[in-house]
Amino acid sequence: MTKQIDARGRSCPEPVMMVQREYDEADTLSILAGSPSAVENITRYCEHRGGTVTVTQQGDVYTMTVTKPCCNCSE
Amino acid sequence: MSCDLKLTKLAECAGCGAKVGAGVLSRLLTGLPSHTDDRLLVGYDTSDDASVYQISDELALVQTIDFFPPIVDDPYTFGQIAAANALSDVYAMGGIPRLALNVLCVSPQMTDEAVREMLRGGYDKVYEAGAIITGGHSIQDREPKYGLSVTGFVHPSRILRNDLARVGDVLILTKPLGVGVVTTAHKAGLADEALYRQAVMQMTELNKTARDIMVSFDVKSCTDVTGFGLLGHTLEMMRGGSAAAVLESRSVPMLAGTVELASMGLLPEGMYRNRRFAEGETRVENGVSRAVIDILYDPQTSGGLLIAVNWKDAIPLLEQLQDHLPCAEIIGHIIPKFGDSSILVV
Repeated sequence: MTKQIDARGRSCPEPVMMVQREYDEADTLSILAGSPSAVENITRYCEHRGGTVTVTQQGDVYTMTVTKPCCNCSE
Repeated sequence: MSCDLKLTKLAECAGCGAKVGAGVLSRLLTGLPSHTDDRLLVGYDTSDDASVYQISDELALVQTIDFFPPIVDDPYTFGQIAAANALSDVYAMGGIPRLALNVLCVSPQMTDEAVREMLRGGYDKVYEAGAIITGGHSIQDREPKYGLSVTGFVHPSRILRNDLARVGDVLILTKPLGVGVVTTAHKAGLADEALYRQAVMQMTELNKTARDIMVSFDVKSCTDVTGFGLLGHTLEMMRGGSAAAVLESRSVPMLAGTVELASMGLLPEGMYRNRRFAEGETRVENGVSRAVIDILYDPQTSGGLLIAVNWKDAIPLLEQLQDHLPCAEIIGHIIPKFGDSSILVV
């Protein structure tokens, strides 16, 4: 399940808080952020949790895709 | 006395994290008409902590101002922190504060009780410093802010400028870093309560003891670590000179738990502003973690003194400081400048 989060316009630490609330239940997260610092803070949080983050930018909008490590992969 | 009002909810930025970035500030001040006076011993051209004006052969006046939005919810504690932060600039110059004026922005969301408590915190801290508040100015504002304009005095031959660190000097920091990260984490509900209380208590502490001890040693340069973070303020000490600072990251005191919080992205916007200002002249060796570097850029509120002391006096000074300030540590030293970097973090 992909969780969609719109963190644009939110001041720190709200973007991280928004991601933290949804992180455990999501398989992947798609996040909109409005500033480089929000992108960095969210990236740090997700990487701290073991996730992989990719970011694309269009104008002032940053779209972040967070992929969590697979816990059920077979060898 | 307790209030239900949460001051930090009334402001977007907290404490010294609200400071205009050093790079932006420099741009804003460029080109403004500059007049000087033969008696002006320290102006703002070296980004020092206060201006110093000679009154006589034995007396110089130290002048500074500091104010910011709430960094804690309790009004009295906020008043204490704002006052300690403002007074610190006089101590950083080696001076003694004597007079202060309130600078107050009152939000319509604040009760009279909250405003009085904020002021009472400020008054109590100023009196603790041995100074007095003689007036002030207040305006209405959407967000509350508080601070002081402070006047102090220093002997003209004993001014501690921020740009006179000598090659061979040792750097001592008197308070741990991390209050920006801790208060940000607290806003997110993710800071350990004991850690938060420690950060708050630290912010209310005057730099008076550190000042009183250091002036007895061979110290030529000092600054206090506040909104621009350790790296930002260290850069102000080094910039334009022929020396560079080596900072030993493992020796820099940090509030326990802050590295973990930084790695979770609980970083204030001010950290990024400070990084933009200082990273071009800062070289970081491999092996220093991203989270530790973040804390070196973390904006501090009412932070410690960063003292450049003659290496011969470093251990005796540190020992005396640690008798009263157990978190004080030697964090680096000054070397001849190398290349374009003014700071090397190892």
